[in-house]
Amino acid sequence: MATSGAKRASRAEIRVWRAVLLTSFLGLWEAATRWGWVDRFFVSQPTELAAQLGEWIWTGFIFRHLLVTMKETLIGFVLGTVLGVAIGFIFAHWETLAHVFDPLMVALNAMPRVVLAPLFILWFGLGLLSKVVMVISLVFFVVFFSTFTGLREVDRDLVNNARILGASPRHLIRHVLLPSALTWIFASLRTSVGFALIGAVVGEYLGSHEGMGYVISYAESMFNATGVLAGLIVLMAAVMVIDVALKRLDVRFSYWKPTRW
Amino acid sequence: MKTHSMRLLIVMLVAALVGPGSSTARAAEKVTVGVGGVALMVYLPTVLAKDKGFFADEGLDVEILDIKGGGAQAASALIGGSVDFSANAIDHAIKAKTQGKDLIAVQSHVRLPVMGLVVANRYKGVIKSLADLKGRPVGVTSPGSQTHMVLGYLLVKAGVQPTDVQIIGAGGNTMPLAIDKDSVHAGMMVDPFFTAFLRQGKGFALVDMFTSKGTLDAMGGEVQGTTLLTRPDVIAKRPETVQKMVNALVKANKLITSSSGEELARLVPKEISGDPKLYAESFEHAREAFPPDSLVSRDGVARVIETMRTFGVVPAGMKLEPESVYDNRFVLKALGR
Repeated sequence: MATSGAKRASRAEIRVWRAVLLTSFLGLWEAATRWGWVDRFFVSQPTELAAQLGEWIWTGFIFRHLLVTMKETLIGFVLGTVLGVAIGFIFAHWETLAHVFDPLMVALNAMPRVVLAPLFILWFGLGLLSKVVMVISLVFFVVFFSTFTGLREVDRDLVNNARILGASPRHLIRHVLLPSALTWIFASLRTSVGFALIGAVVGEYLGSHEGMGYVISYAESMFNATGVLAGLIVLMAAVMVIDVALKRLDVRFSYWKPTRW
Repeated sequence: MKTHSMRLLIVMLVAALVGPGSSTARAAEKVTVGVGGVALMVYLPTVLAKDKGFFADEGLDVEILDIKGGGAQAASALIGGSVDFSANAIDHAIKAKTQGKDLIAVQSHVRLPVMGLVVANRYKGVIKSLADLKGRPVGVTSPGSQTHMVLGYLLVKAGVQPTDVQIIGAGGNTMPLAIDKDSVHAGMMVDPFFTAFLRQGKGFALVDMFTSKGTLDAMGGEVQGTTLLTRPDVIAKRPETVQKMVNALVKANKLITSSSGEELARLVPKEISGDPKLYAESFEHAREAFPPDSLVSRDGVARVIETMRTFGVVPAGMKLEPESVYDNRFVLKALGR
């Protein structure tokens, strides 16, 4: 397909440029710490990070902790999403309910829930439960607000036309409302995964005996910048994997959309 | 008109020359000290030195920064340069050294670990020794803290692998709660929580390292605790400041070791002492921990390095001499030796 104006870079070219960006960044980092422009104590070094990550993977040390964090993240994420979608639907249907609860929802959302983490630990203990609750408290609001908005943004004409054609409420939900809202929901899911991870890690940071948050916290108390950064890299990788999975799901559920680019 | 403004000008000039000059001579030198939880008994010498004006007597205007996040954060602040000094366990200096950063202890606040391993009463008869902790959740103040290191050492000495025990960071002031709620079956407690907890009959002490004998039994000798830490560049560029800080602290320690619990409870600011009776009791229990001469103990430091080696914090191959993390020169000078 010919395009007018400037030529857009091909996918291969973009990949090459990404690689260049990454290598120059790593190279600069390594050089800066090797030649003393920046103190290695504070920012670590790519080679050291690679060594640390290698050791963690080789000994299997990191998998135990990653698994714990992922468990907390995913359980909380699923529960938070289900709750968010359900309540989003309920509020979208019963408008009065939405109006009554609106200030409360906004207030609760504005409150930094991360600050509540110590309270959650107090109420729910030092184990899995407090971390899951933490995750739910973060994910719920993101999903709720986008479900709610997504449902309200549904094209009214579409709804009316469907009704004229004899669609029952069940049909409406399944064939018009849900697919339409799903775009919004999926967009929010990818944001909320990040939040879910934050919730789990912060919870572990404040009181736990295993998990990535624990590993990072321990490294921090040992003044081990390498450990902290390596832990963060592992978390980044985990989130990226989840994000790819979500992208695939998004494509699958958006089959009805007219154009894709 | 002209003479009037001339006179004004002369007065202003004189004031400008004389004024700031004389006020600088009287102005105190600003110093920042980081502590990780100002109410903890281990920081008493610093708190008392400020409260009783010992720092001011030396011409120092000391600001104590109570840093959330405990000792590790205070030490981080010192390394990063946010504070000039920190009252910290010597452990942090050793940890920093393993990462290639130097921190030097110039005065000793306490020479015992001043912590105890407390077990919840519901496990009385069930948990009788360290070995019984296998497979149970045990609390430390935070991962990598001194309580964590000491617990690890105690476990290894008792033949238990630290990985056989679920070591959880449960906080300092939240430890009693964690034990109450059975989130942990036992925990490393510091004062004043230790004394309060035991007094309330909620638990019993498996290991008591507030006394010399307790520490000797558990750890085999003196264990250097909280000290005044600073960076080598501070020592090099402002040695007089360091000397003054130490002078004030030596005075504070002398006052502490010659006072009774009740006297101290009255001397210490209200926000820190809390319940005076409890404070007095905690102090009497931990009295031996405060060194009258403020000298950092080489044996004590060596033992800490040993514990950290056992726990793997100091790598097996790394040479780490006690002398590299402390300097008693300033204390000796303050004592007139």
